[in-house]
Amino acid sequence: MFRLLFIGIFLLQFLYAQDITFSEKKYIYAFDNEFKKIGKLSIDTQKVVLEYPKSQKKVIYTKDLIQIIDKDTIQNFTHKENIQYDLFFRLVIAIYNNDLQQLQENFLIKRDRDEVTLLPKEQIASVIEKISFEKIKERLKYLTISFQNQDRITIEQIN
Amino acid sequence: MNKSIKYLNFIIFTILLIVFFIFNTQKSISTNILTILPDGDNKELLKKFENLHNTKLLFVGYKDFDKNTLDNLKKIEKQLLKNQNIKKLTKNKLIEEYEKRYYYLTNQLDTKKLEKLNIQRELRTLYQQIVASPFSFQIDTKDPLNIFKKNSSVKTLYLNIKEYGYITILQVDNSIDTMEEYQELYNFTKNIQAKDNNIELFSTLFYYVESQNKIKSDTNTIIFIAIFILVILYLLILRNIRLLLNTLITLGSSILFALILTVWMFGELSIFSVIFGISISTIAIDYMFHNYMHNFYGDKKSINKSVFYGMITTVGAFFILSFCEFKLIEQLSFFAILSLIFSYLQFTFIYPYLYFAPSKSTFKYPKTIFIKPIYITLTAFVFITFSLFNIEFDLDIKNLDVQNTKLQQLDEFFTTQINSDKKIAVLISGNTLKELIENTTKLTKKYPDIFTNLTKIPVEEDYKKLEQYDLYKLNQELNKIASKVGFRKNMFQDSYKVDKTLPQYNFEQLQEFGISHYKTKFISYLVVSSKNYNEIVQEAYVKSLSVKELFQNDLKNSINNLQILASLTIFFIMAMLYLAVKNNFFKALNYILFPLGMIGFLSYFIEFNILHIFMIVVIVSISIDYGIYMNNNSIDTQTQKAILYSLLSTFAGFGVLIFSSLTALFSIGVVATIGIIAIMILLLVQNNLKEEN
Repeated sequence: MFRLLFIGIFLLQFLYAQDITFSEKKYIYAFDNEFKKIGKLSIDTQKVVLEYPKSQKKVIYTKDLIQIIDKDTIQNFTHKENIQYDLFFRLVIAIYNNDLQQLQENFLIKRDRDEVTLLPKEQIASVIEKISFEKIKERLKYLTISFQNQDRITIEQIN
Repeated sequence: MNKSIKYLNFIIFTILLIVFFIFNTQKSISTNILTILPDGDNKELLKKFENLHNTKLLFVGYKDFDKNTLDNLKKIEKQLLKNQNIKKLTKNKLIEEYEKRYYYLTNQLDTKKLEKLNIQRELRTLYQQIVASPFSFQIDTKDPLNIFKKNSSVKTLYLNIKEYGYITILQVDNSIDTMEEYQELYNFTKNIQAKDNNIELFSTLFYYVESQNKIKSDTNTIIFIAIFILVILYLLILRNIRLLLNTLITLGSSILFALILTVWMFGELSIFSVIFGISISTIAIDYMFHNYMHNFYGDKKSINKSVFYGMITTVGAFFILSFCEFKLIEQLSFFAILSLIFSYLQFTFIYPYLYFAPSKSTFKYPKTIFIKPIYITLTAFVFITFSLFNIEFDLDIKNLDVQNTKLQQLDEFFTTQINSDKKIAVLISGNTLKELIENTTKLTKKYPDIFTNLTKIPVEEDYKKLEQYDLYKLNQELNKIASKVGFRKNMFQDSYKVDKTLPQYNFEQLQEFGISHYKTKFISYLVVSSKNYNEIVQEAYVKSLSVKELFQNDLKNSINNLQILASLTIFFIMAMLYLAVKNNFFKALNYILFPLGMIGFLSYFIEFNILHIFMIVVIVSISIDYGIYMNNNSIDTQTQKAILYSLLSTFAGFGVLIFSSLTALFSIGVVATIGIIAIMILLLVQNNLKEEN
């Protein structure tokens, strides 16, 4: 009985897990240059994994910690110890689950047709100017993070 | 005419009560410990410091190891922020503006790093950092080469404490400063705390509120015990309710009269002066008892000379003490003089017209052994001599304040969590603003962990120091190399460009930086680490702000002053005693020496504070009344009874303070109780009763 239940849960994990491949364009104002790379997000009920195949870098986000694996080194952080990744993953999960309520504590949410704009509050506002994204039929069209120092990151789903 | 005189006591009381409330006298009673201390530089400087260092903080802690602890803390924070007087901790906007504008002057140049600086290497490292950053790397364009040491700023808002949970700090609006507002805020926070056992809240404001509540509840208990003793005395022993009612009304009038006039004289009265003054007022019951027991309210219509001498001696003693520099003693001496004279006048000139039948008390005075007065005098001398070898003084005024250990523990906990070690504020001064800042800079160089806003004020010297280094050339090279490394053109065009216009300050701006004037000097405060404190206060321009140390010298002066006044009082009492009793001088003298000797025994167990010393003088002033009443070779039972009843009523006034948990009041109570017991012993063993002869 327990074996059956275990196999069921294991299979469910595969059903719910989803891989999203994306292109990332990062404009750095200080260099007046844009850097491009391909990344992959694997989202399931237990964790979210972000990886950049070319750089062999992998970031795993779970309920309790953030794990950064870079070649042979592994670093563990609590969510509060790595605010940038924590914010990024919370953003990804909220967009993926269509649950923006969770971001209300840190952002003011505005909608204009399909485009959603997040305007940061308090401390975050000193670093991030705004975040905007558009989702069409559960597919992320784009996600743009504009920083106060004029840097900009744009993510587009490609699979 | 006769009918209206019967109600005269009540009429006087009603008029005084109306005047009391019309002038809002109760609002001039202060619980602040500063109000009882001597006027002078130290007190003024402490007041200035309170105004300068006026950030009222509210520490919020959530004890738990649950993963939701931080969320719970944030929920509590949200609830607290609903109160308009509670705000998030923000940095002073003026200081923030100055830090931005005068960046190169308010942060210290790392000259060693500058000498060995390799611009290309620094920029390459910066480049790598930017590329490796997962999001956006924040470049400090003012100092991309990181050659200025940054001053610390407001730290993270939620602090994770191991084996505890999370804490955060909120700010209480500086505009709230009345006790009602403090109490309102206290109740608001405590209501939130009551919903969850894991919440811990602390603010220095809580000390004021809890102290006041403690004093109030303590005073209520004491008043209850005092009334209980008086009721037993009047209802069970004297069996005269009308006398009890009239006496209470007379005492009430005297207290109101003294309160109104002392508030008018001093502007602000310490709660301790009020409580102590009320206790002293009850001495007046003696006057009533002696008149009553000797039938002056019955058939005799003359003035009781013994009572008059007694009153003049006590009032005279307080008059001498009123010259004391110590505010508390000055205030309550005036309070005592006013209330005692007012009571005496009523007991002497109104009561005979009220007619009170002589006491029907069946109480019999116990027979005891008789000891010759000279033996008692010798014993008292021995006691006093022994205690003089032991006597030690406790001059820490803070020890007289309410000891709130629960809040002190919370205070210590939050302070040590925020700072690694204990911090103490000290006062720093200079003849000019420039000198004040120079003095501060000298200290901050030697002790970098000092917290001050003064170093954020740019002065001419800061420019001169920077002029030694060619920062213009550095800017040129930086931009040239930055382009080669890969940075955009003119990315650092504003780096290391120093704004050369010195700011002009007005008084409000200086206050924002924590600077004030005192006499001819500019003053401010520094927050220093306790481990460096002793060295820092050695500097001529630094002064301790610890209440204990600041007032130690003032208290020492007060004690010298008090000792002179006490000696004068004793001399005055001796002279009055001799005038009043002549032949029975030694017998009457024992009423001073024996209580002194007994109280002296306390020196084996405790250190004497200023209130112990003052109460000793008061006990001497009271006991001398009894010495005067005993002026005959043979004493009648009525005098003995009158003294016994007086002692009981004096215990109701002073002795009950022994039940107080407040150090100040307990100190008074313990000396009073021992003094009363000593007089009681004298009463039993020293007098030959007329009937027994």
